[in-house]
Amino acid sequence: MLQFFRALPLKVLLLTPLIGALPAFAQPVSEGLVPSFKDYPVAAVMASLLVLIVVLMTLYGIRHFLFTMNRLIGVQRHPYIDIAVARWPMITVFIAAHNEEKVIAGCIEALLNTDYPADRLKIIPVNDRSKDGTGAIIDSYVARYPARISPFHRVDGKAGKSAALKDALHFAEGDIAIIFDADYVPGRGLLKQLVAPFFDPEIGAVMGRVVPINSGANLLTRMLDLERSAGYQVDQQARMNLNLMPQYGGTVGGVRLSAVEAVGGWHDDTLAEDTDITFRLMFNGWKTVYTNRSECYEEVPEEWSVRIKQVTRWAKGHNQVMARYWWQFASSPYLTLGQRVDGLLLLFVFLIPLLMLVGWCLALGLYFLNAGSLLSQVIPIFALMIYGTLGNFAAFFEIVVAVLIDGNRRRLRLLPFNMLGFLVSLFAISGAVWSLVLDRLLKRDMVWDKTIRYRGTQEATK
Amino acid sequence: MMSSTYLTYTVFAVVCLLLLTLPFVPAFREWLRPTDLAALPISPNYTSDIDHFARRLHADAAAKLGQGAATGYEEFDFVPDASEGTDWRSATKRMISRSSLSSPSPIQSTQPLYVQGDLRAGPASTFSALYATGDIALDAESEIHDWAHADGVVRLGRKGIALRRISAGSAIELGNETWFERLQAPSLHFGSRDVPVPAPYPGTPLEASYADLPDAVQQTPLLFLIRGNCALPPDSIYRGSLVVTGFLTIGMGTTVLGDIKAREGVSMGYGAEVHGAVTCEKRVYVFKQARAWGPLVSESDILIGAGAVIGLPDAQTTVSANNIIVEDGVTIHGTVWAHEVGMVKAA
Repeated sequence: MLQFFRALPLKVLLLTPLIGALPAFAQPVSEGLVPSFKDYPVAAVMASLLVLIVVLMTLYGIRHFLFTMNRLIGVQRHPYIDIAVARWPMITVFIAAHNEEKVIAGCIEALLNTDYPADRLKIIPVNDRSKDGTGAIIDSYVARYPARISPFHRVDGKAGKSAALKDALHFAEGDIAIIFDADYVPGRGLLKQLVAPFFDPEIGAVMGRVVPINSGANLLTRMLDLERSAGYQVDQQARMNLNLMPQYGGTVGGVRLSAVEAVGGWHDDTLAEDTDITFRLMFNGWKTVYTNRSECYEEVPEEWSVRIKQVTRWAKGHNQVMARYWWQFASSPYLTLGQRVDGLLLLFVFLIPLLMLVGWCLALGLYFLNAGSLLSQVIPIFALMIYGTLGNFAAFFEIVVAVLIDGNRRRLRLLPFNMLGFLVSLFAISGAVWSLVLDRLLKRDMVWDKTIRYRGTQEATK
Repeated sequence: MMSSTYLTYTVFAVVCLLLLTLPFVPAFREWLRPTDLAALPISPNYTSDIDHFARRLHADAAAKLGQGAATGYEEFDFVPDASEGTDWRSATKRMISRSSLSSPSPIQSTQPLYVQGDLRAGPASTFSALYATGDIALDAESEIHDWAHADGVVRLGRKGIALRRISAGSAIELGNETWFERLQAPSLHFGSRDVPVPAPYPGTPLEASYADLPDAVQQTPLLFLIRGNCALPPDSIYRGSLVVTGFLTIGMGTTVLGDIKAREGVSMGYGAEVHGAVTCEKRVYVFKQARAWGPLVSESDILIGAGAVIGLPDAQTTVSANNIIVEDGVTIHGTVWAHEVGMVKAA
């Protein structure tokens, strides 16, 4: 038995009792407390897997905690926010629109009112095979502002935002492309804030902050508001502060076209073109920048079915990128150790829900395998302690700090409901991972599910 | 024995249930009777314009003087025509002067002051906020605590303190040993006006290529990356942009026709020119007679040597860093923003 112990890695031995896996080794057997792999292979393998999963979860928990502490006590970086006066470069703003008659006018109006020099700004609404009045609304604006708006009406071709943008990018003027979804309403000074970082020639992509405009619509939107707050106010800004890997999110942001070209061009065969370009830029020596003060409203899903579709699309797209680039990213010569670790954790983030689900099953299985042993009764206490301190605490801590930094407080009372949202995402993402595997095996095309808009139809031709 | 075990399990289950459900009580209350559900406010008209407060005071004063639309904030007192005896400290409302003010003795105003015309105040004057439709000239050791704006020129004498925002429609001139934070004008002049102009750099630059530098990697047709430190030799012309992961030294008289970024620091030698932006995560040294079109951005410090020029008269730019030290005779076109300390240093 001692030989068996010596054969196990030290970390496994140390962590096993902590995560409650010890009972798996500690079935009431005649030879002693701990069974061998040889005698109890199923329990031993299950326990080992559980150890790995818990180690991974702990890493993510620590990461959340460090990010939050950085926002509380770290040095905050906003290096380009002061650039208010400059010889601004020529830019093209793309508005991705597919059946967006409810919102497209608001976005175009906002861009026409921006303080970016009009002679340095070209607006291209990308009307991607819309079946509603989107095209007519765009054309009505083109008629009024022919020098400022150049429409791109796409009537056929591959479906999806990334494919539409890929086609539209050929019509860009200048080296900077700023991209908005049609439901976004950029503020007057937003374009300058998003373009300013591109004065740094190392910057390949810039991301602003997305703020839900319909946060008060129902419980779901209120929960998503809390999540978004944590994701941007803490996660993205901490990555920026720590010089890690802020993520370009595909909207309220922009890319340097020469950089995109240098890293292989815009990919239209992915559901997450934003993640795709973020990682390719990073492992080829470019940087992404997050500007927390460049805020813009968006709509978040008001129905669970829409939310599940959205999360599923993110998960599939993200995991696609993970499968493609994880090794190139891990072995890139351009990254610091911190960027490499953060990037890999980010890359694998949409596998975690599935792993967590597997972990729960393993823990449950191990519990029943050990029913009756003394230590099995201690499992809940260990589980509660570890969950409370590392898992639960870190994520909730992040949300709380983000919301407080935003100047809100009472909405935090809704925090327990986020557990519900977390559970839904857990199963949706796990399903997406499984679906992605089937897509690969059965060589199925991935389908772009557009997020529904809720804003009332606007008077486009007022 | 059996019943005691069941009791233990029941108590444990109840405690767990209570622990889990208690947080849901305020959660349900907030859900059913919302008290905090508004979207995070984003001002659609937000910009970082330096003269934001000045424009507001101007609008309020214009409304008071019957020269503009009502703003709802038109509470002002008028400065008496013979302003020499005015008790500035006892003012309780914002002040308007309907004509130019000139006081050889100090003015110490705790209320915002709006002057139709020029303002000239003696040494050791202090203002919280100040707007003049003409020029502003404050003698040595004067202080501005919040902001000041002149449609013409703002002149601040030696050892002045200009906190927060100072803007001008034409130019700002700061005397030696003046402290500042944020300045904006078509032309910013630092130090004494009678400083001798340094001799221009005498060399003639020759064409050179980044590709010839050690370990240069071409990222795009117009961008090279160098990992580690890099020194651009003197009297050369480089076309395109350059990223250096270490410290970048630009030799004397060398011209870069593009943007530069160096993570560990930048040194622009005597007479060097960058026709583009200079960004750096650490300290930037701009030696005398050097020129940068800008923006010039450092996450640490910027030191600008005598006679250097940043920006162009017809293409204003931004200089931003935590600390900025500017020597006598420097000219900047555009905005300067020192987050912690800005200082004019005598040459």
